[in-house]
Amino acid sequence: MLEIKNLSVSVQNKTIINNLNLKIEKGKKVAIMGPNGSGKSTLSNVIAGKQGYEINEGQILFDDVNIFDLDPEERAAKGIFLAFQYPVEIPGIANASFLRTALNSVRKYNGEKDLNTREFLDECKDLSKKLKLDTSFLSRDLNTGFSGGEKKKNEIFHMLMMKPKLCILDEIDSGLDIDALKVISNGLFQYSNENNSLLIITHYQRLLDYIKPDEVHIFNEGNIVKSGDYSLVETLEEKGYQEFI
Amino acid sequence: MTTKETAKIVEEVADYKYGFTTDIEQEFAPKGLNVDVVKFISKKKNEPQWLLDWRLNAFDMWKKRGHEMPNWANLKYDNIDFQNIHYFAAPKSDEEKPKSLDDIDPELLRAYNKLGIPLKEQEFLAGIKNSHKVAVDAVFDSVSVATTFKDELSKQGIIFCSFSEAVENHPELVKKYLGSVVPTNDNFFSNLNSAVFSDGSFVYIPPNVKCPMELSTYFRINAANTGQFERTLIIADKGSYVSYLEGCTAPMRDENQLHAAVVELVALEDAEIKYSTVQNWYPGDKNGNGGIYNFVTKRGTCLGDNSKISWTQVETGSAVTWKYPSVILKGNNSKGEFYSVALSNNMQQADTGTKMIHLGKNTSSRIVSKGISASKGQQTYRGLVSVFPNAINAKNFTQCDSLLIGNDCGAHTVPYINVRNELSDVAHEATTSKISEEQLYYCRQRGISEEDATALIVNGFCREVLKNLPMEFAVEAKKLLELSLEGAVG
Amino acid sequence: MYLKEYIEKLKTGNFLDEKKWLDQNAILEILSENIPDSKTEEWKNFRTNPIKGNSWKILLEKPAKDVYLKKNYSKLPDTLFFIDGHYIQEVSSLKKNNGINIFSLSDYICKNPEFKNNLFNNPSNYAENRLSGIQDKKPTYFISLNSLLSSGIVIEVEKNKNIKEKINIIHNFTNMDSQVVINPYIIIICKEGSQVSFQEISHNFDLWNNTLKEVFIRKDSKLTFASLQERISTGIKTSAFNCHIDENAELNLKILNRERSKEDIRVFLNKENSKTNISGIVLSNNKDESDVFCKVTHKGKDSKSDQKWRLISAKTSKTAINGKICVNKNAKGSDASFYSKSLLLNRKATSFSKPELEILEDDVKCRHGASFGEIDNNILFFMQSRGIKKKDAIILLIRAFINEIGLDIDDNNEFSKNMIDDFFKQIKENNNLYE
Repeated sequence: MLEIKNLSVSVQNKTIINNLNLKIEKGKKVAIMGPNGSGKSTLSNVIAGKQGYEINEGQILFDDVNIFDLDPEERAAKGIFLAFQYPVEIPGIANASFLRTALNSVRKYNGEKDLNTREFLDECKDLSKKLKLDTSFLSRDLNTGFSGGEKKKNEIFHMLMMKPKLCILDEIDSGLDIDALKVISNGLFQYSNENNSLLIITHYQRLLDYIKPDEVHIFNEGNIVKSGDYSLVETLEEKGYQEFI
Repeated sequence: MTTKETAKIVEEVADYKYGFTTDIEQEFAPKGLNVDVVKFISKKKNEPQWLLDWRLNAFDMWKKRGHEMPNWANLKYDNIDFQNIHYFAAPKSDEEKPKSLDDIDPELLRAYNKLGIPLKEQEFLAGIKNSHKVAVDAVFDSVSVATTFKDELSKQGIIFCSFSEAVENHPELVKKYLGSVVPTNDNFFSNLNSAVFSDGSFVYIPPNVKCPMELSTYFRINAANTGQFERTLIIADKGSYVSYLEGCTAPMRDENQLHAAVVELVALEDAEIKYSTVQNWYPGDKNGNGGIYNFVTKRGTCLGDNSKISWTQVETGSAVTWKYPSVILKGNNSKGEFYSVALSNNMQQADTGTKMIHLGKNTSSRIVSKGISASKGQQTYRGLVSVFPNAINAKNFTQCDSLLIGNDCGAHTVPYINVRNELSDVAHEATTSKISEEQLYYCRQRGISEEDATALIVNGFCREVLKNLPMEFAVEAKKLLELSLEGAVG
Repeated sequence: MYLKEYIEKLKTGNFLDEKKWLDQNAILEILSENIPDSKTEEWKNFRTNPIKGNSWKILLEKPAKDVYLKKNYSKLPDTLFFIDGHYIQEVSSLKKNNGINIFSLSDYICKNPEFKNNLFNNPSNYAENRLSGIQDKKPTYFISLNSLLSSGIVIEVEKNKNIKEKINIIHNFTNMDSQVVINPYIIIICKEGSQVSFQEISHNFDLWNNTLKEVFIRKDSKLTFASLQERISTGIKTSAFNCHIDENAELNLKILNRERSKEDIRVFLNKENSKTNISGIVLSNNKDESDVFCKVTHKGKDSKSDQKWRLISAKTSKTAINGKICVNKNAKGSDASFYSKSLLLNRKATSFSKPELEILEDDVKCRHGASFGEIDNNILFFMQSRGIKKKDAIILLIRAFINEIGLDIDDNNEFSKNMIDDFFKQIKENNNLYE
């Protein structure tokens, strides 16, 4: 699904990602772990197409197509979803109305008709029930005045509504209490199937205890220093990052 | 009136030294302003002596001002030559008019198309040669609708007519209230308007009548050339209610550079007036050529106890906007509101805001102003909240927020707050913000294009004001904002 | 000598040899006698008629020794004494070699000729485009007058000195002639990397006190400046404070102003990361006005300003604050805030507030607010139900209102406490409080 080849990225002439190779297969759950400042967030932003990064070398192929020339919205339309570490507040725009605009934009790009408003709202309500979110959640302004946990839950809500092929979670678990963590992992269970993929970027192993990724990579100074399966998380738990870097 | 008759009037009122011209289709006074022109206008409109006297008095006062335009606003514009303006019906000759839509600024046409305006109306709005007749047919629907409305309204005793008709049919009302809210001498432009006003709307709502529909001058096409010096007077008698809509979402291409309208509202005991405006006069091109100078005086008086006046405005047009819809809170427990969205893009400048004058006890006012500056636009909020010694328990809340899009624009906030009694509660809050890169990136990551994202965020910024507009107006206003913002991003 | 006479002499020329640093435009300004009045936006809230309608006398010489030595002066350490506007070294108690040097302005300019270009007595330096679109140079009359009539004292803080002791600047007055205008002129230069605190106390006076302070805070230095005014019973105060702040430098300004005063503050955040915090209390009683104009201009990137004002007017007095924040183009990342709160103690008291913003750069954060209020009746009732007399409760609440912003630069500041107590004593005599 996603293939990163010899990727080197820098910001203001400082190399952040250094000759990275990474492949995420369809239906797989992949975790990238690493200490702060190891370049994890840069990786997620480069995949999603944020401006301000210099791509010095390499390719990112999504469904075998290089996506470097695509705008963030085009990548979103192709099915790449990034759950933000710090979701952005937009006052005056109701959460549901934002989501509908987003979904219709994606549908338009893919040559589909606009959503039926009624069906959209029903789906929203069903889903918010499943995620145990209050329905006022839909009418409140996008992320405005949301608590940290609510913002993260809302990212999962958006993800489930947008049904992306690849979902990247950037530090979704930082600063969450145990209940919110459960809501989020439930959401991720609902999302995962053999046709889509998950890339979890995290500092901690807490979420991984629930999700049980298929592959785990340890990231440092812009590259993978160790790869393995879930057992690697446990090793990391015992020995800390120091062992690997 | 025939050409012959007009010529006669001209002979009567003037010693003919200006060589009044009569056109084949329409009659007009020569350029410039003098006593004869004022007399000519009054005569043309068959006005009674008292109104002519009123105009002449206004002209006299205006002359004494020595053509000194107010200069305190944060606006830069060329001086207006008041002797180089036609003050009565001065259509362009057909030779000067554009021959077809091909001759029109393509930007303007794009705007029409985006707003979904039919072709015939487009031709009229753009002032195409010979389009007048066709256009009238095209808007025939709305004209007839207006007549139907009139019948229905008159059953309830509501008077809704042109200002000239009101002078003829309801002189006692006009006499009583004309100039009672905006005195002739109030400011330079109200003074000018009082001398030369062309026409406008008149509304009277009798006691305890709730006007069953939104009254509106919202027909895409007004009678040509009445817009320049409009005069509107709305009176809501005891216990009545009216909602009035003014404006046009289509940018009207207009040869008149200067617009100086006066709007007066009077709310008696327990009455409520809601006045909504969408202003989208031609803003000029990207380089600041052309465009309307809009110098409007709008004011309402809450004359009776428990009355309420609410202004809502969406200002996206004009090269220069100078406008401060105000409320004088005279009656006890009266309420004033001002909700405003003003957008200046390209070279546009807007200096707009409100005045809330608290005179009565327990009066309250609320001001919500949202200013958006994009490209090289300059935007000023200028407001006055004044609480007089007897206005015990007066309350005011003011919020004015500015949004800047781009690096060459400016936002200015000038709130004057003057409190003269200790039992009042006045609060002012303001913020200035920009659309952050993060917000745009977040929207784009969810599949929304940069331009749509900008419009979305701007709409969110303005929501508090837009929700005060009547439904269909709100939808148009949203579209208008999106359209006016085009080219501001990137 | 009368001011008029002096000006007549000026016109004959050759009178200004010792003041070569003074800008020619400044002299023209004084000759023009352009005293601002209520038609000038910034002076709308302060009556200048008493200034206009008087024949002012000027004091060109220092007061005679026997006059000032007769007085008892407080034995405060680290104190600079100004008597009738003149710096008097004999009674001052500044320690030698503690990192602070005092010069007369003419000496300082002899040593640093280029410094005169920094001074603000030039009207064209001073006048800026004002938001309202009206341009005038009227406020410069007072500044020009000051710099013409005063010799000027330069207080220079040495490089990289961190001066722990608070330095006092005390203004005393021996001249009881209400026809006299005095012109204290103080220039403070905080050189690179220095840190210092000043506390300026101005005692009661009967004359017209027209002061000017110009402050330069160089790179990486920090200045705390508290300016406290005692009750002014019959005098008039016009005062200007101009401050220029360089990279990573900081100004903490604290102001206590009383009735019969007009303060004109301009702070320029000239360089990257410059910073200012301004807190001010404005008190007014009887039928007098106290007016503050405070403008902060952000020129440098990531510059920060924060203003907090509390205004109280009693009886038929007026307080006014015109706070203006300008963010110039390219001052990216600037962060500015302004909040004022006014309290009116009597029905006929007045307060005016005009928090202006002028933003020419989009990458900034700006907030401002103003509120006018009364004392919360519920809280008052609560206090009364706990046995506190209504008047005492009101006073207590007003104190709380003031205490929200601190004026003190150290823990036990008798001066600001006494001055505020004095105001409370005055308003306690006011029988119609809150009625």
